Amino acid sequence: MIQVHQVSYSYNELSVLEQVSLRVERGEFVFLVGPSGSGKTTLLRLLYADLMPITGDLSVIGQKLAKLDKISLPYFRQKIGLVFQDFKFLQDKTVRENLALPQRLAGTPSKSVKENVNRFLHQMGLSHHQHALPTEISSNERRRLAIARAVINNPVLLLADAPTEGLDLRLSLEVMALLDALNFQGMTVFVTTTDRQLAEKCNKRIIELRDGGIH
Amino acid sequence: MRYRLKNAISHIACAGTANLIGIIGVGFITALLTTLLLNHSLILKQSEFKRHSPTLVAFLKDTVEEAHGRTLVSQLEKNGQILAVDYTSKADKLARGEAEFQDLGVLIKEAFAETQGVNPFPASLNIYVDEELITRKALEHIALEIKTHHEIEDVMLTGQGQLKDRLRDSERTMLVGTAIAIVVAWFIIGSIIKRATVTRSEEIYLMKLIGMFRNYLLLSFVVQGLFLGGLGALCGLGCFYTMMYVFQSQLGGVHFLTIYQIILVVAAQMLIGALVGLTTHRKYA
Repeated sequence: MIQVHQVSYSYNELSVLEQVSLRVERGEFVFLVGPSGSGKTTLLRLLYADLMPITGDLSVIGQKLAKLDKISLPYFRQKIGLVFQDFKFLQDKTVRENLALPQRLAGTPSKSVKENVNRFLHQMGLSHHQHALPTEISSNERRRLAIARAVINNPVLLLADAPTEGLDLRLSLEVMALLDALNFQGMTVFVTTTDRQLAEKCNKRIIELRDGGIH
Repeated sequence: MRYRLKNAISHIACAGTANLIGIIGVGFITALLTTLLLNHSLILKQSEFKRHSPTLVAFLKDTVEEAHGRTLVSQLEKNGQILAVDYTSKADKLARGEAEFQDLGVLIKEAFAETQGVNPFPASLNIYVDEELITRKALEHIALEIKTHHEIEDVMLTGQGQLKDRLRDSERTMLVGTAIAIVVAWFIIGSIIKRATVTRSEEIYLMKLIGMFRNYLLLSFVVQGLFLGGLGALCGLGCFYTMMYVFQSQLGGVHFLTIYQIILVVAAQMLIGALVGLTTHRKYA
């Protein structure tokens, strides 16, 4: 599902990733653990082709990222669900409109969009907030909305960047249970976190990223 | 489609008050363009009105006999630049004068003969020149040349040639004005669309990350271009019409643009808007 081979990346002179290699199989649930600034978000951005590596090869869901062009990039990204650390909601759009966005972008017919959005709002317990703005709901609800938006198009791979950041253990486990349920349905889940304890509690495969390398 | 249109409207709203400035700018350009168009139409109308009148009229001396006058006609027709020469006799002229001035025609003739010693309705030559091919200077040269004939009392330029000159000038001004208007409108509309894009940059970035196709925002950009171009043109025409209405008495018989010209101006501005939208989309989205 994910193949990272000898990938290096640096912001100007600052090297963030050095010769990183890892492999994630289809249907796996993997934690990428590391302290802040260790390059977790950079690696994730490389995986969804927001950044291009300076050296090395990346292959995600069978697609060599170096070969992606402007036409195939949207198709590739529609197969991936993304949960951003800062959620990246459209602040002037309601919860419902934010949730519907990936479906609209994928060209799903309006009737199906309505049905899917209603289903996900119900599943995530957000139905009563559907007309609220993202700023008007709680942090935990925003997190659920971010996960719902990431998976509404039924992607094969879910990339979640620190989805439990700032949450206590109980709420973190709640989020993890949600991701686990998605993994159980066959979705490959790749989660970054700074909380090694949480990753260990979930009893999943852990990859540790430190000082720009895998340990 | 409904969602995309809604999206396009929200894209327009992203530019905020800049839209208003854009509309005023496009409106101002439209008003200037309308002035040129109106001026051109006016000259064209005048030229059309005088189309069948001769370019030059040469008045013969009263002493010149008809036979002599007709000999002069054939002499003048030998000039390659002259298309045709019509001879109008004194009798014809008087008949026309009487028809035009009724009984006064005879009185005018007699009064002139007594006081000035000249015939107010002399025999004349209507001279037609191909004005499409001839310049004003060349026309004056022909007039002077005709005047050298001793049978000729005076030569008059009817103004037809002058009108052609003005028409040519107006065409040139229109062309330059239109080119400048296109460039300025392009710049204004482009800046406003760019502003909306900058305001939405985070949203566009997010949409790209979650798989937005390149053409997804095309409609928004084109609709904003059409909106700015179309509304700007209508506002410009509206203001121009109001000004014409207010200053109607000073302008005399000048009429506003025809419905076809109005449609043409609005459609042209909308087309510019759509093209700017298309180009801006390729560049920024």
